[in-house]
Amino acid sequence: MSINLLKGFEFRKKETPVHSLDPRTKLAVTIMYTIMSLAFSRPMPLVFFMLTLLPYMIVGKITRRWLASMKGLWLILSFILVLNTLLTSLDFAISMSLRVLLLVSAFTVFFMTVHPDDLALALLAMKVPFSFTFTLTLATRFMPTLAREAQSIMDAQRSRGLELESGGIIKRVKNMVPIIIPLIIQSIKRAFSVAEALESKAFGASKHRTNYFEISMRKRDWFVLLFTLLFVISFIVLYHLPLLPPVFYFRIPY
Amino acid sequence: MIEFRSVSYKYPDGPLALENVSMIIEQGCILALVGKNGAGKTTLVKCLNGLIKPTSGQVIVNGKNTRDASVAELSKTVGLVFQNPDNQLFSPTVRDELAFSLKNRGTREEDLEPLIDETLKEFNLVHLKNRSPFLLSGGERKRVAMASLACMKQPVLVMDEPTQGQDGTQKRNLENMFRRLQENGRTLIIVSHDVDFVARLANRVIVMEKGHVLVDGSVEDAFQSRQHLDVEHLVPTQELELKWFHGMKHGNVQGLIRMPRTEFFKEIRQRIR
Repeated sequence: MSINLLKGFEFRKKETPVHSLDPRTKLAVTIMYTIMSLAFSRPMPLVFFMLTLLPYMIVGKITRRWLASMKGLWLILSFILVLNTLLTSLDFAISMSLRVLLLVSAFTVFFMTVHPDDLALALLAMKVPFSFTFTLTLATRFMPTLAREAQSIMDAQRSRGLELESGGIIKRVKNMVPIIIPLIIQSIKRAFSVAEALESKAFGASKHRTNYFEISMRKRDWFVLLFTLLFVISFIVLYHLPLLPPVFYFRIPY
Repeated sequence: MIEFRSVSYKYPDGPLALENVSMIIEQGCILALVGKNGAGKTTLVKCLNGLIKPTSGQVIVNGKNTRDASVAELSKTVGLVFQNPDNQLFSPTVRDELAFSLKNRGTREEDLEPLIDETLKEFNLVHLKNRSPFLLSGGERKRVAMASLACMKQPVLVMDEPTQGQDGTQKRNLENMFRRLQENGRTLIIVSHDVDFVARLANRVIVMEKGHVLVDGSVEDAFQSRQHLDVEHLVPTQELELKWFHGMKHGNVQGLIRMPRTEFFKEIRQRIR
């Protein structure tokens, strides 16, 4: 279930206009979507922003992979929906589910279209310290590996007769122990191996690093950036005036 | 008996891993699956216990279609030991690791200890019974992983790279143990790159390439010459090359391929004298 979600962090090289954008542009767009998802707590603006993400995904040819990775989110969304409906209202519950969906989708789209090395270059260009940049990109790079490993562990334990999908919630949580322990142990082992490999490659020996590739903002990057910024600002202003069609202010009466 | 009926499998967003594979695996044989990486060996064995349901075709295990049975249900018939032992070890002791599999199978508490002790003895792990699996060597962990499946007494046992990380002595122990398992009527399917191990042990060899069965026959058929191994993308060991050389000289290649190393070298020494 959550394995699919982790696959959302897997970059695959493709020749599309979205992939060829500067990583800083994509990061800025993702941040804007994050702000929008947090700024609105009514369902319709969130649905609208979710719809605006679709062309981006279609052009980037990642719609199918995004849908597959979203399958891993259904349990969390159902939990948010049920809990908030019981404690507050259906309107709020749907809004919160949409907020999580939009947030996760925006970041999934970002990680699916940005190579971890490009992310590192973007952060370095933004004067983020290299050690921090490297840790972040390394973590991103290992997400799909972690997903594959979790899948292998699940297969291995199922081969021993472990039934992951049966029983009540307590039994299901208990059944996760044989999955989680090997996963943690392997991750720790890998962390040590990676650390040793880095040290053997003189990581941190020189303060002045050089990069083989360099990134640069092009006209289309500025266009996408300014267009998204104007769109977001005008939407916020029009929404609060309020000048948008009534459908954007619709509340579910429960 | 296991039957593959025109089985094909394609990974989502991936290559065609198996293409129209048909075969029958008889009860009580030792079958070796060989082939280069990505040939479809692991996909094929995952079909046996239902971890992978074929895209088309059918896999019938003891009369049961794997499509109609859960992995937990099939795990009582087919035990699959994965290549990486760390994927399955999680218990505080080796004993608990075996007990976990037996409890999943529904073994009664009073029957646990005799079964655990018997399996540990078979796999030469008695002295490690109360040790943590995480503190063992790679070869020992591999044997613990095999033992934790073998203790369930499934009629079919599938081992992915069983000799990985095992020293010469342990390889011989494994060889003897696999033969004992076969004598007890269990079917063994071994996925391996260890040509010598396969040559000595297997009754039947299936060489796979790009999701197809390239060769299906006896050890003598599969490993009879360098040309055969070249076609199969396998690398001959020095021992096998020596057997070919010696066999060609004396017109007895077929008889030498299965011969245990010690016996073969004894014969060479005698001829040299």
